[in-house]
Amino acid sequence: MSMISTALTGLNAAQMGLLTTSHNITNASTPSYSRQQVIQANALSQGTGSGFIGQGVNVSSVRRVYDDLLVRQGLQAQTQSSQLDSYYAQIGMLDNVLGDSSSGLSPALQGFFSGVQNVATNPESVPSRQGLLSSAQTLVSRFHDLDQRFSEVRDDVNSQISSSINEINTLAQEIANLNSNIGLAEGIYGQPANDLLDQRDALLLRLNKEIGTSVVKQDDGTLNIFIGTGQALVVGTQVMTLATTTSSDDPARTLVGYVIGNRTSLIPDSNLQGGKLGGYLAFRSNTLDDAQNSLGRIAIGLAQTFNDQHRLGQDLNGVLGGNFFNAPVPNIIANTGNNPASSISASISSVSALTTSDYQYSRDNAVIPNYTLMRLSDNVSVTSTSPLITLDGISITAATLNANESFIIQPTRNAARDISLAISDTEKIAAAAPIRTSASLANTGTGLISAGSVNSFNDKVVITFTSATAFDVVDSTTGATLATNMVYASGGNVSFNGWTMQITDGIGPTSPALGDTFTVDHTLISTTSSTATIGGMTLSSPPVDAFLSNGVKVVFDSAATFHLEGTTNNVTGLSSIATSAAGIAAAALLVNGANTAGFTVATANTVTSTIGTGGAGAYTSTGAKITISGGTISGATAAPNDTFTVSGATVTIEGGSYAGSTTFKGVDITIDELTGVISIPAAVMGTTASTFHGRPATGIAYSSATPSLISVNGWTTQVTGVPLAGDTFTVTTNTGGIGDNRNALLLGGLQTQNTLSGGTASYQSTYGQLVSQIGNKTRELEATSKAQASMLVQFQQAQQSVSGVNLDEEAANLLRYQQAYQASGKVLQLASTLFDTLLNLGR
Amino acid sequence: MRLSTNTIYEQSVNAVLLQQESLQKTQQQVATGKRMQTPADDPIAAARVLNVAQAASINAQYAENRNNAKNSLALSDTILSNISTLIQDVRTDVVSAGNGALNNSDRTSLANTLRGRLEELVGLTNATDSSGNYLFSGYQGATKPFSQTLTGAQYYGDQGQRLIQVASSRQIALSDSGTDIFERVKNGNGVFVTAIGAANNGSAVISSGLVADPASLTGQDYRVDFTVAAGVTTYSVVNTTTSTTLSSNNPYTSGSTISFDGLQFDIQGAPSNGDTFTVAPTTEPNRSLFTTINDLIDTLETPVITSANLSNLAAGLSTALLNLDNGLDRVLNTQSSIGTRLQELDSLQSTGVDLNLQYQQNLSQLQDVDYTKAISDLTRQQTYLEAAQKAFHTVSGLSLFNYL
Repeated sequence: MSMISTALTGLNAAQMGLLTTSHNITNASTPSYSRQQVIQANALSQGTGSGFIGQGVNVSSVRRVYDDLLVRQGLQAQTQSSQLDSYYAQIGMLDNVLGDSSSGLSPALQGFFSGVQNVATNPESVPSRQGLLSSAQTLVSRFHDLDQRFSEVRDDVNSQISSSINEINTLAQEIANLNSNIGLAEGIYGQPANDLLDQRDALLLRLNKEIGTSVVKQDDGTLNIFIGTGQALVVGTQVMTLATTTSSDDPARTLVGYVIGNRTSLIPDSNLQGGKLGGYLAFRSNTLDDAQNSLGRIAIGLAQTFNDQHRLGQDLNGVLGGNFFNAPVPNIIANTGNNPASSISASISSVSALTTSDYQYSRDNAVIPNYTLMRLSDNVSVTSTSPLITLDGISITAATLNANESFIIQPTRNAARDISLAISDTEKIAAAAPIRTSASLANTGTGLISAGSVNSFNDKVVITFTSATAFDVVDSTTGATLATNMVYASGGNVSFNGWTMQITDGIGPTSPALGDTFTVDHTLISTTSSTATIGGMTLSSPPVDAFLSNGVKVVFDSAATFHLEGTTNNVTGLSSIATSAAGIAAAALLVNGANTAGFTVATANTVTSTIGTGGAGAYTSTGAKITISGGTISGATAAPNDTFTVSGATVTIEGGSYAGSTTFKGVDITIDELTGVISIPAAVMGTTASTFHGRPATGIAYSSATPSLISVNGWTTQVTGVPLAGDTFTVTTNTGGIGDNRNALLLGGLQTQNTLSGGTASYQSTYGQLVSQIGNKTRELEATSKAQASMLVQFQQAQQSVSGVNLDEEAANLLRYQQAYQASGKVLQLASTLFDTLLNLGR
Repeated sequence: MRLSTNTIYEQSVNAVLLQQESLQKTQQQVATGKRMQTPADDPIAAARVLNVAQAASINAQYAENRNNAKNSLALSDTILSNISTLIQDVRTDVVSAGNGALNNSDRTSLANTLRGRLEELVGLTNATDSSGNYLFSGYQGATKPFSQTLTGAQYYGDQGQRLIQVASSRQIALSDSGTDIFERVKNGNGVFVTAIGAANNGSAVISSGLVADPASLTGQDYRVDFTVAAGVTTYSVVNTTTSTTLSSNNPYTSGSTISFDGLQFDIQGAPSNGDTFTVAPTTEPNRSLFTTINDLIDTLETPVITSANLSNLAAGLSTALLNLDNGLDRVLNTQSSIGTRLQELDSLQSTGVDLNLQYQQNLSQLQDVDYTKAISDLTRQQTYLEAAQKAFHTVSGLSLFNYL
């Protein structure tokens, strides 16, 4: 009897063994399957006087061969591998686009500058100009194509994030379901629910492919899963969901949100590591944003620097050049919490100072508000009580916002998309320079005058204050004096060469002290020896002097001095005042105050002297017309070289570019009739004279060993050689100069100039840097993802070596259990034979 | 270590996949001839390739610019050659006009010939290039530089010189303005002018003179007065600005040099009593070539009746000769400057060709695949792949179930 039951236990055990082995064999290639083993234990033995007699075998459990540590290591390796793989796949797309030798930016850039050179060679030729417009259009289209590709990648990332979140939610739900099922099953039977556990492991592996998780096993067998910096995803049978959301700063950017109740809170990108989702987020924040900004920086750099030079030129119609490109503007995104009426405007004040970062502009809630402009790449910021801040080449030009409001500024993000051609008419290409020079045929000396060039606001100048209200301007590169005695008033603007700036002490406007110097161009601002700084730099447009078209003569009084005259003034007319001739009849003028009625002004009596720039002191004759009416003139005799004083006259200055009143009454002014120099004291001019500029007209020293630069009205030229007394050189507008290519040569020179990155890189080398950066990152990811992949394989193999099914082993098990079954069956048969023997005893 | 069946398969398959990947990469290199398929293959070289390609393209552009420059300069040179020939012809005519055997009508017909030459000269200076732009009008390519007037020709262009970029830091002048070539011609000696007194009766002429010592020049006016008494001709030199007499009673020999205060000239011929000659600083240091020829025509057309007319004729002819020489000098100078520029272009051209070669070599080094290495890699990797596939086949065939 006991033998039968013992044999039966054996049969059972063998049968279970066979079932388990066949289960292993059929599931050999099921993912996450751990091979199962039958755990046999001997049954309780029966105690007798002659010893304990065994009662067979019990199958206590079927358990899976499973190493927790190895599985956990495998999950970690998998999540990192997935992140690297997805990052590598995305960046590989960028790498291919940028590096293509025929569809990258370089060929289009070279074609464009070839076009510029062709126009420089044949400026009058319409086909050459048309060729330039065509190659410019090609370049613009190439920028658009590249940006389009970037945008496609960006949209792709957004949609991948979205589908990844969906996948995560689905997996989380299934894991929670399994948690509950496992709990139930193990609760009922008290045995490990091996296959359910394997299924949960499979789901957990898939979840780790999507996002990095940390797993905590509970006592009741459920798994709690956390993501990010501790946000719970699955707690027992409860599931939290993720959702796509957008940040209040940038509504176009898909971010990961965590749903609590009916509120979705944002999980910052940097908190989510691991898995494909971590890969997409890392790609977007670390590579894609930078790359698109970098490409945009080239576009905006090219557009602005080309435009700036183009505006200094003259087109086929004799008109000053306009913009060649439509320069892109910074992208401004209002925070969704802002008042809809709040707004700011920003412009690029210096392309050379631009970085590839985005910026945030905000206002705090202090009573005296502080405004902050912060660079988002490293959180370096500038704070000031004035809303107009400049940082890294970006200037805030207007701001209306309430407390605690903010804006995101993306200076270059959309530049490659927005750049376009502003010219379609070949005549509007400004290849010529607007001025030209000539030497009179009556010159007896050997002096030569250079062809002349228009001042660019790129020229660096040194401003030296000679008092709190006056300054001189000197060309920083050549040392030439460009202007003297320019008037400054505290709180006023300083303007030169097309830029305008203010001098502050960091809080508000201030006055510099005697001897303070500032080195300025429109990109770099530095200061020495002063507590004052420079802020609020803006550029006027067009950056060309308003007096540019007024002709000027350089007249040598001797071999060592010269003076400047306007070509349209009446210097000799003035000298005729004291004698007779055209202009004002002598009788109508004063003599020693005898004419108390002053002089009447009729058209014929208009003193037309072109008056220009200067501060207090001498004015050169360029610029506008000055009319003197009424008043008395005293101090003159009949001799032609006198100076005389006008008192109580009304002086009207026409034209020119100055703000404020242009009518002065009761003035005392001095006119030097030989040179036409008209002096108006600063006290009389008041505070509106600050926009005058120029230099003294007479007695400028000349040395043939160190010939000085002459810079007036926005142009600069140089006389060299040995001129003699009476030699005259003229600077005039370049009327009809269609064969002039000076500006085209300067435009062509931009190709190799270091215009970007603080003056260290040209357009091509900046693009080369971008290609190289992406290439380097791609290569780095290729290497690390390969390394991670092989590490993952090792962990998987280690895990497989414990839990994996070996078919040969199972085949051996089959044989084993089969034999055990046969043996037990034999025992049963024997027991039955024995019983038959017993039964047959009675017969 | 225990191996699961999955591991056995996966390992073998991965090995095959790995070999396939390297084989594919090598095959791409061989097929495209490029060592780098994407910048990631060699990021630094990729950036360098872009830079070198730009430098090569700029170099090629300069070569094109140089060709353009050569063509333009050659054209100017040809025109200037023609003009110098013309000036020499006029010069010959002037010399023949000095022949005392000619009479008024001979000289008039010579003047007519010269009129034709003047028109021809104006036509030559208004030459255009192949695109129809004027060569000598400075920046104003569409404006005809010279128009003939009653006194010579008027210039409507400007003094600009067109430049062209022929090397990375070299711009060469493509054109010269009409003013500089044809108008900025030294008038006489360019410092002072001599003139025959209006009331002279004698036949003496005064040369244009030259500056013997620039440091002694005073820039003042002078007069030479001749006295003929009893067959002896003497002269005195008076500074009319300061009203002082420098010297007097100097014996006169026809053709001998008179010099004072840094000036030097000679008087030839026979002056009458009371004849004067003036010396004054020039008010016209430069005189246009056209004006010179026009004045010459006027001189030839003036009939010679008195001996004063004769000395005027001689003075006019000698002035014309001097100024024509000055004009020819200017043209030849310009031509020689053009020649220098052409030479420089040639030498820049050969530098450019060398540079181009270097760039191409650079590019080839950076981006071209080494075929020898690549093909031997290809063969090797093929072998590896085949071995891996064979190993897989062998290992996957082993199973205990084959024996059950």
